[in-house]
Amino acid sequence: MSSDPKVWVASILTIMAYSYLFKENEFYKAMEHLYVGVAAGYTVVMGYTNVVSKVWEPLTKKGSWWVLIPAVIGLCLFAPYIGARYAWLRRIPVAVIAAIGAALSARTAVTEQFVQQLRASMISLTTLDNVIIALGTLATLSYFIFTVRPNPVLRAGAEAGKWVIMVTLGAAFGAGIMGRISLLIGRLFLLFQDWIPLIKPR
Amino acid sequence: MKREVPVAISALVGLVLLIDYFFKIPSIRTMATEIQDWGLIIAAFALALAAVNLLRIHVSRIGKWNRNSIHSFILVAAMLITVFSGIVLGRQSKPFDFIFQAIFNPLASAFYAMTAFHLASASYRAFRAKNAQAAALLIAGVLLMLGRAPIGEAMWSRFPKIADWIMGVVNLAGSRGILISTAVGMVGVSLRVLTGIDRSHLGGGAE
Amino acid sequence: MEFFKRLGEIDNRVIYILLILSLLIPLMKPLGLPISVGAHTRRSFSVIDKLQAGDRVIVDISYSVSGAADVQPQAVAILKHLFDKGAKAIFVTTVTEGPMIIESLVKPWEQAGKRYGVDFCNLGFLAGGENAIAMYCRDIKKAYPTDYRGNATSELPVLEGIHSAGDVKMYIFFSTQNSDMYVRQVTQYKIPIIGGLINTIAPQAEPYVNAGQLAGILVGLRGGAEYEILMKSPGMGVASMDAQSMGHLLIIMSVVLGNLSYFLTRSAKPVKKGAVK
Repeated sequence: MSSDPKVWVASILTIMAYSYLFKENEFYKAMEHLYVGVAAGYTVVMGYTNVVSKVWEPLTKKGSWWVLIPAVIGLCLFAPYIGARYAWLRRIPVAVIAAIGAALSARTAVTEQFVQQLRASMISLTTLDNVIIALGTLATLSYFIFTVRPNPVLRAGAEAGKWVIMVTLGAAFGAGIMGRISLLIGRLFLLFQDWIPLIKPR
Repeated sequence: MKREVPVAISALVGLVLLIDYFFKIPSIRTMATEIQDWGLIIAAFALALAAVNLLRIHVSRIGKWNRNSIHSFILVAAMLITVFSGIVLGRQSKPFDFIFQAIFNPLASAFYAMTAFHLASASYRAFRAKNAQAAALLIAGVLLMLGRAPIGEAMWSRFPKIADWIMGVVNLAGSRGILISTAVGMVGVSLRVLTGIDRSHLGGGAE
Repeated sequence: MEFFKRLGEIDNRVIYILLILSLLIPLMKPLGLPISVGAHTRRSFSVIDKLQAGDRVIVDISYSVSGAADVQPQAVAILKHLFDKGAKAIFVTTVTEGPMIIESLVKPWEQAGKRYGVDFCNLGFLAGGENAIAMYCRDIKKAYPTDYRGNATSELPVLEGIHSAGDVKMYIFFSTQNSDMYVRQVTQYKIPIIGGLINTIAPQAEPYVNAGQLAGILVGLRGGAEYEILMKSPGMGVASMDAQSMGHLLIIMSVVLGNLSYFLTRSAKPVKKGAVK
């Protein structure tokens, strides 16, 4: 057995979490709350770190007073806690974050996701695979066209698109299962290699 | 006024970032960099928002003590101890490292890995080939799993090639179609946000 | 028929135990099945192998601890490749757990003599998601005035002369999130991008690899195992492959048996009185 207290605590907590698989119980609920608490605390620490390095230090060490502007905007997120009268102030930081997100994704989505992908679809139709890629892309696209009155060509394209999407979802399904199995293997290494040495290290 | 100001700020921020990308004007570039940096600072404050909300809810539950309040107590205590060890004792301190290695890491991994059990159960009870398209989905998934596991290759050497074909041809076409469609949708939504047509992210409440 | 009816009523907990056993037994008694190396991993390896000693690389470790089992073996193997070649790593992250994961990844290398600030640095976590990626690619020292260990980034030798992502040789990200935002924000700097992805999101990255926007990807634990083989340094990835095989077989058998039970017992079910056929 391991002599590392971290491994012992980690293993016991893992078993308490997995007790849910047998039946929902108090240990599981305790682990659920413990996890949420620690995760929230961890997030606060990381947020604090960012505020110290990007606001407090520039302000106190370099006298960069203008960093107070985004800091005050950020603090507006907590305005509803002061009183209902000030609640609307939280819209300002939300507006800034939403606008940055929208502009950043919109400006590059056109070039990187739209133009580049369309360009990559312009392939010579000399092999069966290339034909499937080109027609499959068109068929999938026609499935997502909702703003044009349906006609027989579009309907046939959409029907073919449904098949392509189903196989794509099948790939996602297979990949999803592979990923989950990997995660469980990771837990078994903790329990049966680090804690109880049943698995020999290679 | 209480809605127009945030909408105007959205439009201004969006305009600066879009002009910066398409026209590369040095003064606008400086402004865009500053705005993006401000976004990082605001996002850092936003991280604490969820924690403050959680704290309010669970402290009030502890106040009205009942059978379930012990869970709220565990949550609040865990949060405060983590914050104390990370901020007061320091991020390089042993207690903060212990909380990460012995509590946060194993619990996060355990909860996420629990989905493997649910998927195993669902694969037995829920994944039914009720029609031809559902069958196509299942067959593609099964072939992919066989192609990506060494045992599939040991059973038939062509399984990896079939898996590669599913991923690199049919999935490529489907994913590309979805990608282009979402790009169009994303640009549309972004423009609605920046022009103030869509204000849902600003929330309701009094004007 | 009775057999299939009973099969359909099997308790979930039996499936759970079977799943654990199917993974645990091959971990304890490995089958040693051969692992072939796929095209994606080969391509990623050859791109990274072109790096020269002293070349600097931005490494974004943005996988959550919950998904680490699928991605971490890739990160360990690629980090070995980078350091073996004498490349320098600039670590960044946009997930809160990232800084601690980076610290645990570099610990053995630091003990082996790699110098902090010279051969690598941990710039830590940056809030903001896609904006954080865009910002550190645009102006890394403005985005990160200090690193995770509290040093001023302007004084780190490893960052000397680096202003944006265009000043490094390569960008490598490990992520449990979609690769879209990395492609959107990093491709404009015209440097090779390698993605270490969790299995779940890998299918959506295929169009980016096909279009040349991603120079290479590693897919899940299998991708990690393949890279370990190319590095001739088998680790966690290779050790997990037999278990992965058995896990896949169990799931496939579950799907087949579940469907058999469903179709055979469905046709045998009596139609209730008054039910609409």
